[in-house]
Amino acid sequence: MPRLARHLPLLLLPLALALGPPASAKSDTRAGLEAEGLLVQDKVIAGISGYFFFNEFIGVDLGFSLMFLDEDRPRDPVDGVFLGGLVTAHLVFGLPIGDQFMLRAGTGLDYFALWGIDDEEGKAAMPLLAEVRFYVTDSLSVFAQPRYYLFSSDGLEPGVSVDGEESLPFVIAVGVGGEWR
Amino acid sequence: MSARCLLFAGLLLTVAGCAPLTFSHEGAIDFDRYRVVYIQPVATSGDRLNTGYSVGLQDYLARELAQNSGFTVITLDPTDPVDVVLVVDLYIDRDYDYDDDDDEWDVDASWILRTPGGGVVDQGRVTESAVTEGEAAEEAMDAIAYRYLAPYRL
Repeated sequence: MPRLARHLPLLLLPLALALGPPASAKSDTRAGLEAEGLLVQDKVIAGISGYFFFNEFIGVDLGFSLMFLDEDRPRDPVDGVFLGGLVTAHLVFGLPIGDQFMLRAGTGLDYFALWGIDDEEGKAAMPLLAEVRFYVTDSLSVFAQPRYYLFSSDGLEPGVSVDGEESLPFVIAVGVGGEWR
Repeated sequence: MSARCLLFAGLLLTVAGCAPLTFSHEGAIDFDRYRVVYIQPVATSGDRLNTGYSVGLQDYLARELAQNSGFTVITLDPTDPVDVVLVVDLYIDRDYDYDDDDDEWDVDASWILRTPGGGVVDQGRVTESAVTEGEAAEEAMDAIAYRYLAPYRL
């Protein structure tokens, strides 16, 4: 319960964005495809994602990335540096700020399939994401997306280093993508 | 204004840097204590299958454990000195359907990891299904091998 209370302001953010659109808002579907990477220590996680907005404010975002260790460590159970894949599925809420910026918030599932260790090995987490997106042109945008992990399965430790040093349980995704309206 | 915002965002990302994200697994048993395992021939019974022992499945399980498990030595020689013995029982049954092509094979696998003196270290049970009995049995072996995945922290 205290953990839930601590997360309450973050949980309310997507709700506020969903309820926030003015009554005069018109339907506006958009789709985009982007290249993205997660800024994490000791690993390289990069891939593609695509999104579809049903209207100006609510959409879904699906992504797939490959994960690699930054170096081959002989004592690890990983054969080489390939660690596996990251599959993401998020429900997102967007709020345009002027012509060039958009704020997004959302939640969903991040599944880390650790095929490099064992075909059956995998970890899951539920992120709460906030995103700032800057439109360089009408169709080209760059974004930064901190993901705060509300819940994660055993053995997935966001914000914890391999040495056990703890910090805030979030990672940042950055990327660039094209959009079609 | 926009350039300034981008610069600010870039600075924020630089300050935040790369966040740590660690994957770990503790291991189902103490692999420092139980390092050497003997795998018994796999006992099989069930539909369309002679009751007996499968050396093929014993070999398959040994290969799977050699790839990913925390055991240091895996032996198929019953005379080797070992820390633990892995005993696996498979019951394989055909799941009939109106259309023969849709028949499936169900495997109910139970296993005990015990010391040579008979003390139980670990045990479990798993059920798997596949279109052939061989695939179903191998999937059950995969599940048992996964149980003894080596500890890691990455």
